[in-house]
Amino acid sequence: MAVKKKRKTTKSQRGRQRRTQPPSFFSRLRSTVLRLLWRLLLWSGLFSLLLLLGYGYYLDRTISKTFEGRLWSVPAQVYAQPLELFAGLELTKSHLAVELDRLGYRQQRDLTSPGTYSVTDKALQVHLRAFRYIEGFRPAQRLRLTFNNKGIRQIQDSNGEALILTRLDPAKIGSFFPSHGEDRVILTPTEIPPLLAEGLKAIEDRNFDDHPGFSVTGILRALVVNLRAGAARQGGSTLTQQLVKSYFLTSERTIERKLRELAMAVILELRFSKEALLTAYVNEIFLGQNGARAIHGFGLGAQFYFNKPIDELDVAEIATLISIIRGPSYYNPFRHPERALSRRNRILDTFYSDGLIAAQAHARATESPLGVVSAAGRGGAYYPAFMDLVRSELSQRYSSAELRSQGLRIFTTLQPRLQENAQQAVSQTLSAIERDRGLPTNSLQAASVISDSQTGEVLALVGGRQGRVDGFNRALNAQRSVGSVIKPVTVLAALNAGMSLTDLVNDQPITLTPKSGVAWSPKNFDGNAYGEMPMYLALTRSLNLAMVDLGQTVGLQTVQAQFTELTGRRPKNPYPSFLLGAEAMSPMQTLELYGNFASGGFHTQPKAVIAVLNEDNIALSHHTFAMKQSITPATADALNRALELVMRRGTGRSSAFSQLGVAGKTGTTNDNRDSWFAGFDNSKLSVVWVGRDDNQSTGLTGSTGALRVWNAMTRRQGINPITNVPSEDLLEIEYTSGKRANARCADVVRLPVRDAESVPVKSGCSIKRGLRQGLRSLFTN
Amino acid sequence: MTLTIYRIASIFLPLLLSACASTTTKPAPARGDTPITTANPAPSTPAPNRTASPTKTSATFALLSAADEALAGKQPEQAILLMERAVRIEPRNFELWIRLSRAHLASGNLAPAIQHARKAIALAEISSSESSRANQAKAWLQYAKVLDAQGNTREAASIRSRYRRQRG
Repeated sequence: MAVKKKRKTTKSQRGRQRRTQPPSFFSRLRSTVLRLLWRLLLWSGLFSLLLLLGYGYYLDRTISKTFEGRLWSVPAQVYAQPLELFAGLELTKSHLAVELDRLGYRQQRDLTSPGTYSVTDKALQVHLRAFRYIEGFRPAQRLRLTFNNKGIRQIQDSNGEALILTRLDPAKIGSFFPSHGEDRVILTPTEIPPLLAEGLKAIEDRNFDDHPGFSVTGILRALVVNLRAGAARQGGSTLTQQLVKSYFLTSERTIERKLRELAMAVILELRFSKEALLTAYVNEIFLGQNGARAIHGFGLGAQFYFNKPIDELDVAEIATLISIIRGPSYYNPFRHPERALSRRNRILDTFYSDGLIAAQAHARATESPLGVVSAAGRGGAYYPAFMDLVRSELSQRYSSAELRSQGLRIFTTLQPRLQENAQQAVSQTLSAIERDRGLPTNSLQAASVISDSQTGEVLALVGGRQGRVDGFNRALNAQRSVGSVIKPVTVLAALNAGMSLTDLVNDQPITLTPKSGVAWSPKNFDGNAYGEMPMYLALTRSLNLAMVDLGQTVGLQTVQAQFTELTGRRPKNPYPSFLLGAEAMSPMQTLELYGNFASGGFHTQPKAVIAVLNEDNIALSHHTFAMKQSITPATADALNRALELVMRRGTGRSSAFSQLGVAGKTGTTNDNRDSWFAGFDNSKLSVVWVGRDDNQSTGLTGSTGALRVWNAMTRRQGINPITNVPSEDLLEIEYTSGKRANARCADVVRLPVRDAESVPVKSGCSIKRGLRQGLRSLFTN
Repeated sequence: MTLTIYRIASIFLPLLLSACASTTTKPAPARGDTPITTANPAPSTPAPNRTASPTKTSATFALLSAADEALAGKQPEQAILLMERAVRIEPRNFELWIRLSRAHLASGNLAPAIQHARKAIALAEISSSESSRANQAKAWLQYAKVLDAQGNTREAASIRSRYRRQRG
């Protein structure tokens, strides 16, 4: 059949046949190439699609994870100690005003809203903010405080009723952000002022409520502007794009980055509500830099630029914060106030033309000054060194999962005024010492810790000369030889072994050769030896030879056991040089040691946290006072009297406060590498270290370095003189000889002595033996 | 001697009475930081330790009364918080440490109860007021209470016999 058909082929068919003759080599090649190309296209298309899907998935995961991680982790808020207010408190009207300023209270005539105060000749009126304390909620309250020359005379509430006790709200000193450790003040959607939300849209992204994450008109407009300018001038980014940009901060301006940003913005828009996106933006956006600390979010921004919570910002202040977004350094209101002001006013104009504010509010806001707080008060509540202590204390008690739980509030022992004073004292004194002694600028470093002497709570902590820099924390982490600061431990061991402060010790050259180790021949600071003298004198003059002699009498092991009893730690140095302070300790550990003396004989581990409360205000735990008696009251009293003599007569006497009822001990290490002072009055214990980070000599002794810093702190803070046991139980002793005497015949000091009869009498003082039998009363119990 | 005892009693009795009154007649305080006004339980006499200013003492005494109420309302944890707040204001007032020890005893924390009683003893010993013997007795008697709770009744009894007389 097929053959038959073939035969019947016509001419025209033949012609066609000629045309469809088996294709030539080239045409076959062409169709193969085309087919291959087509397949290649198909496969590579499919492959690209897969890649794109994978990349999209990757983008989705990345952006969603970042977004959710930041949005839903509410940081733990950390608070300082609130200032207690009561009639009789020694706090002047102007000091209270300073405290209120620190907390961001505004001075104004009208006190209708919380966070305001007014001052008149006779009184200070304040509208305290509501606050949820550890013990419970205190609603906002209006108070009237009157003053006399000592301090607060009376506190009255709005009904004119006298209050015995109330307190300010505590300063917020930071927050732990579990996911990325940054400092934020996170706002929830309801906490965002409506004007801020609407204003942001009006200025940054008009179509925010409608666009899918990007705006074509915005991009086109930016393109035109940029083409005209010949450079990238305008971003054209939506709020969502800005948010994405902020998550992955990078300054590169490439097409690829732009596209990625765009894709991520679209993904965010698909996944999350507009409200969630705006909230994230408000909490995320970069608003400036303070040293090493980045200011992110409007919550922290309000605190940093205006030192107040966001809900207390007025129209002009909201406009100022919005104006900063476009260029935190270009529109920095501290550095470029005119520029910032004119942009703020343009924004206020937009607010008005958009109907967000009324004409009157617009006029008032435009006339108001920028109102940013001065550099000193700015972001005042930022104490990274103290926060290190809080962090380490928390990590000892809680698992990281517990700390990640939502909305924790951490109440701490910090006293902001004391902290500011201590930091200033450290920074200024170090500069003064460098100037006076011709030392290189910024060569010295220092650290200091101050605690309540009775409770052991840390009130202030200085980690270096720059307080706002989050760097090496010397107060906690610098391990330096303590030198003579350790000597009271030997004296205490001697007292506990039954000796008295008047017992004789021998200040003479000595060479000790331990079983293993090299021979050791200690020297006094001045190279001399002073012979026999009473124990207290060896301490006040800080004589090394006498102290080694006493250590030998008591026994090195006994002294070391005493050290362990006082600190809960075994000494690192097993050799007799321990007696002279060849033992590395941090300022915080030194504080712990001296806490035993300052408290009248109780060992406490210095602590910074009072309580950690969860979202429902229930305590995860209270960190209540924990102490253990380590010295009997009478022995502690005897030692403290000797430490008071160190100040009145000995190495501490150069201090302007030495005669006012303070106790302490200086310390200097070999080649003047470390300068120490530890001292206390009736309420506070302070430890100061001064030295160099590279452990080179400073040329400073304890009294020319650390004591000077302590003086500067005390000048700012004042003294609460030590009160001692009734003085009729004491024996009058000639200071230089340690013999019984009286004021008529000698230069005397009063000291408790275990057995009065054993103390030799100074001749010519007409003292008869046996007259002072009543002394033992001190040593009962 | 009789005169001295009478004087000591005149200082302590009103204090004890006011403390008892606040523990028995007042309802447990609401968990809140309501400001303490004169309308709230206030000291009919200042607390005995006069080393600090009387107004400071009345501020801490107001907290002490509130802590008593918390204890009466079976809220020893709240009492501890209030007493620690009082101690922060007036850390050398032995009376406050006695109350803190009492609050810990009520919540069954014997270790801090004993240490805070010791702290009260140490502070009472250096208080320079003329009633310091009575102060010491008071601190020692709180110590004896904690010893009792620890099961150390013998030492507790001996302390009691030594200090009951002095307390008057």
